[in-house]
Amino acid sequence: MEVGVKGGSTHSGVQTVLKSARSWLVLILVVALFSINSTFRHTFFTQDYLPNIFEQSARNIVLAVGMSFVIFTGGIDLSVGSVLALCGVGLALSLSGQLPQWIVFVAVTPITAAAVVGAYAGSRRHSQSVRAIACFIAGAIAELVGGFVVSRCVHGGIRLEGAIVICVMIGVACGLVNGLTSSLGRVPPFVVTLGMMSAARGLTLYATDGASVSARDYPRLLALGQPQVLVIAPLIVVLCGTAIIKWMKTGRYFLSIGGNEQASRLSGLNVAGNKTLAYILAGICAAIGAILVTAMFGQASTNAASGAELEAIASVVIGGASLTGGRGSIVGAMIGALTITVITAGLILVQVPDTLQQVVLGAVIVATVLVDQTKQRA
Amino acid sequence: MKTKFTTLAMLLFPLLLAGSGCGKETKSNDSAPAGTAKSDPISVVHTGTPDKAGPTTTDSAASKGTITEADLAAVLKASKPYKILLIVKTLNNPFFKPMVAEFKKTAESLGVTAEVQAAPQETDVDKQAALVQNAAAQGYKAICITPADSKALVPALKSAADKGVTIINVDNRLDAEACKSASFTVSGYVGADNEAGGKLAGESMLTILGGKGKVVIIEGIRGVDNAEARRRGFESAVKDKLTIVDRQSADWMTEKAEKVMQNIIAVHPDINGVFCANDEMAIGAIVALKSAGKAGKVKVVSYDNIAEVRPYLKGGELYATIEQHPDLMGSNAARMAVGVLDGKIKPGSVLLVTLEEKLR
Repeated sequence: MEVGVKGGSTHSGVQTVLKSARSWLVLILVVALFSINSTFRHTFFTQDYLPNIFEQSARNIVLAVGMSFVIFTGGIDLSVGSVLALCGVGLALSLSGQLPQWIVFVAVTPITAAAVVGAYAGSRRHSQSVRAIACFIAGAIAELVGGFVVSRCVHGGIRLEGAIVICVMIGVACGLVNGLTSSLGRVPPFVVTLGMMSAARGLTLYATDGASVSARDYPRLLALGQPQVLVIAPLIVVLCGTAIIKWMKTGRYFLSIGGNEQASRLSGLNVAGNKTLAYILAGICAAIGAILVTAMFGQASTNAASGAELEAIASVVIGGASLTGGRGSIVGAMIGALTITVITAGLILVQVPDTLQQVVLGAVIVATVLVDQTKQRA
Repeated sequence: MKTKFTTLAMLLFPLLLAGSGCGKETKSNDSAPAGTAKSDPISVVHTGTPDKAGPTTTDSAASKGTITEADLAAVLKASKPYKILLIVKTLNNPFFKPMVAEFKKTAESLGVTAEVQAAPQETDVDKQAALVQNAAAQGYKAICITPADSKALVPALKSAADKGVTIINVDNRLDAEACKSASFTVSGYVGADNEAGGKLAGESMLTILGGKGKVVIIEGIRGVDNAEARRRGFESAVKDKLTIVDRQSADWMTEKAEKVMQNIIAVHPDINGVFCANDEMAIGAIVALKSAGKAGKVKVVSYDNIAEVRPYLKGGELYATIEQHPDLMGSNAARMAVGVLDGKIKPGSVLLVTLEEKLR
């Protein structure tokens, strides 16, 4: 966004190029440094090994894309890991027909929200109180009818497509709650999503009584966990994310809200709506991550993706986004995720003990941002 | 641009060098002979690992006051309807499910009120300490606990014991040194000898590999007593016969184990076996082996025998897993608590439940 004013017109072009290449440079630098080690050189640059890096980053790339939307608006979402676990359990349970009724009611929340919005828009010519009542009735009917219809449908176990819809709807529901509470309720996103992080993990445990849920008997699901899918699916998510940010108005709004919320509001942007949308997108990405992880291991673990939120935030930051919002790119987040994978994988390849791996990772995250900051100030 | 390169390079390079140096050091340490290594599961002193876990915990406590399940079976009915509590690490891990179920069932048959509490995450030491503190205030007569940390929970347990609560240590063992320096003694211990279990896993690996080959270890969280003990046991069993080419921690997690395994195969494509310190990690390792086309060829031995790994055992991707009977730990913990409260069992008793190698 902010191209150097000082450098004059001749410099600015070069700087923009450098800026967009910045995250690539970090990745290339990391790979180059590792390549000093011969074991790394001989294993890493092989046709067999390279796809592994994408496969190992799959979940993190998907979560980082979702996280990007939220961070672009100046928010943060700490709940993505827990939401992923909840979505995964929802997916596995609905396949086998053991989905508890209350999860169904959680899953139909988005329908309810849609009904409320519809009723609000539809009753435009009536008084405030009539509108409120209309919204309430529409919401209640949608929740109850939707809940009972869906729970009837999933009663005996459902096909994969249906289970995926339920899974995504759970993700949307969590994002909706995060978004509405932080934008309309004006609770800081850190607090809201911290609460959701705890609550979603708790619901996961409550739904399964602590055990993992097996999904090994569904070959069509397992097909989604094949290495090829784990390479392609995240790339598709990145493409869609880039499309939203680059070519859709919504994406530009995200960045504008993150850059200056007050100005965006004054220029007539629907700030609350767009913010909520960002959290919903993060929820959808968590659901996609859940599908991939569940398919990969043939089971939904209750401790799946614990700590994944921090990894996703780190990816977005390495990718050049500002945590205060308004700046960043989706491709950058993907590169960030790849960088993290290359570091963790590389350290195993060059046989650094695992206790030191965390140190190096931490150092790289801070160093990247530090260099970025100094450069911006200069 | 220049600043970025130099700063990062300066930061990464020494770490990389230091790192690889350390790696080698650890290795030579591992393969160094561990002094007296006889196959007696209990009285082995491990000089090979001078790190965190107190090496003499097992022998000192186990040699005195060891009782058998038959001794505890004599505890049939409680003299009073006590309130007893089981605090497990987390309900996140399927391992604790049978423990909790059997604890409740046995408590009911003994005629006492039983509750179960847990911290949200396996590593939440503070939360567990708070649970202990609250339990003392809520009037529980006995606390059975699987401590999240072998040392950090000692002060909380000590203050509960001072209020007259009977403390039974279950599964993960409290550190003897830490207890001693806090002048705290547990009223009983029920658990499995993780080192003996690791050894059993090692023997299992020796059997399937015919006594020679290259293996790797995927460990649990570093510094946690049972993770260290399982690794020690495994290492001592395969020492001088199998070559341990690498060991990495995957923090007990499936996803992490898959990534770790994938990278290990890349560096050591010729390994013959993998020991995973729990089943959840074994599932991750198997997925990685499968995508490398090595499932079933590289032998996997793991630990815990949770329900989720049975299909893998049946399919031959997992060769063996060590069952350490959390169900028996649960039921015997309840019996031990009531027995100590009623004076039927001597305080300070130790019960080691049977370990079992589960094959296909």
